[in-house]
Amino acid sequence: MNKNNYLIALEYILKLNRVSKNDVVEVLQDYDQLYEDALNQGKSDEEVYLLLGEPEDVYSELKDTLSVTKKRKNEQLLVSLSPFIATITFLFIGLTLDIWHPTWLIFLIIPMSGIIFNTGRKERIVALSPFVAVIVFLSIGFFAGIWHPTWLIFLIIPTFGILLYTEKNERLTALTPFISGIIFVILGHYFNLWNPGWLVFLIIPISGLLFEKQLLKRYLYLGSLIFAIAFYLYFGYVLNEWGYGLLGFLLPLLIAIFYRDIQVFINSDGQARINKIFYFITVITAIIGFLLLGILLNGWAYGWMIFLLIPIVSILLSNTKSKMSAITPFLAVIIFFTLGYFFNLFHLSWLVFLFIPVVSIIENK
Amino acid sequence: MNTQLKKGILEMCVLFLIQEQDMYGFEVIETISKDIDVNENTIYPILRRLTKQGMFNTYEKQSPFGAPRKYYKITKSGEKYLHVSLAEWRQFLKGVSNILGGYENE
Repeated sequence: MNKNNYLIALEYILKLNRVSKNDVVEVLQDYDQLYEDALNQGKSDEEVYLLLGEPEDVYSELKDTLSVTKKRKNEQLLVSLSPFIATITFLFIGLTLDIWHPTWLIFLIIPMSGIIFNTGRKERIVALSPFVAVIVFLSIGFFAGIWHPTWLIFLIIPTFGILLYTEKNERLTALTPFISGIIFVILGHYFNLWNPGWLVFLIIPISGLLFEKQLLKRYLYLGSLIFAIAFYLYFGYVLNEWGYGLLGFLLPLLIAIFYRDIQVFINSDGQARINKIFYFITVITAIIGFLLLGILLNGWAYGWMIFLLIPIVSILLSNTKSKMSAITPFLAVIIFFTLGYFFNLFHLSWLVFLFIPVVSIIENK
Repeated sequence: MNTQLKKGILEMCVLFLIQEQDMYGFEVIETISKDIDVNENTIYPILRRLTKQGMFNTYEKQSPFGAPRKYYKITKSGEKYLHVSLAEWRQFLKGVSNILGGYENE
């Protein structure tokens, strides 16, 4: 980060919080001088960054000295009024029309209004996506009874995250797990092709190979994968030996070992390695758990919740400061849906969403 | 050390230094960080807060590097506030050293 980037980041945070124009100009001028003076003293950009602090921290330290625009005041008023608006609307519709459910969804405006008025465009879309997914999922589920495959709507959460936060050439590879997941479920659910439908997950490494610069490596991998698929399908369909068919995958595996691509865990040290192994186990457990619940217990309607373990574990393993605030929305969705679906307590379980702002306030106090 | 307590003490130090001589922002940060381990972005918010509260006036002066710098100058109310703070601080230190000194002698 250099001076320009630092000032741009600071300006973004100040404007995001609707700080008045005069204060933005004044603070930026002051930090421009501070940065310049530090550089003139022979400090590096990294040292200056440490000395001045992260732009977010600068804003929170300066908050009480900054004036905000009128628009910001109105927005904050709306956010603080949202619990009252939600409660009054909920009680009014409930008492007059006796439609308690799904009127409780109105309570989602509490966290949603906070997100809408307190985040930037990108963060807003990503942060709102879980709420949009819950509303769409429950509405279609309750009104049309189509729980499965409506749960696929939850894939918009990582999809938006990937679309908005990854580089253009990485997007396709990052999106392939979700694209292949959707195709897999459709193939399995509507055509009962769970096997060999899972082969669709091979789109993930294949899409990654499209960006491989070494031509020989790219074609060796592609060739071995095509061979493995053909081998598997031949043994399965022609000889009815699906198990032996898997042996074909030893070829791409050997190539991966040859190119030292299978070293995800070996390359990392200490805690990073343990984290990677733990994360990998979580993803595999979630996929297997979901399929087992769906296939054995026909639990498609609730099995999707197991996928929420992935972001939860990811947050727990990360260096994120506000872990509880980040985890609470996922926990809230799990508790809300579990109480509602299994105990028919949707009229009460929405209350759990109130924990989201509460936890955030307590943790960031 | 408790953050609020440290901020209060730093506020007093900033007032004291600027009472001695007018200073620009980075100069204050550098001077203080020679003796006290200041946490990242602590000093500028203090300067800004005290200026807003009328403890400092600011003016610009050309720097040897070209661009003009903002200098902070203590006001009458700043001096008065510093005077009260220092008296309270000395009283507080006296009490603390009485207590801790007493324990150490036991």
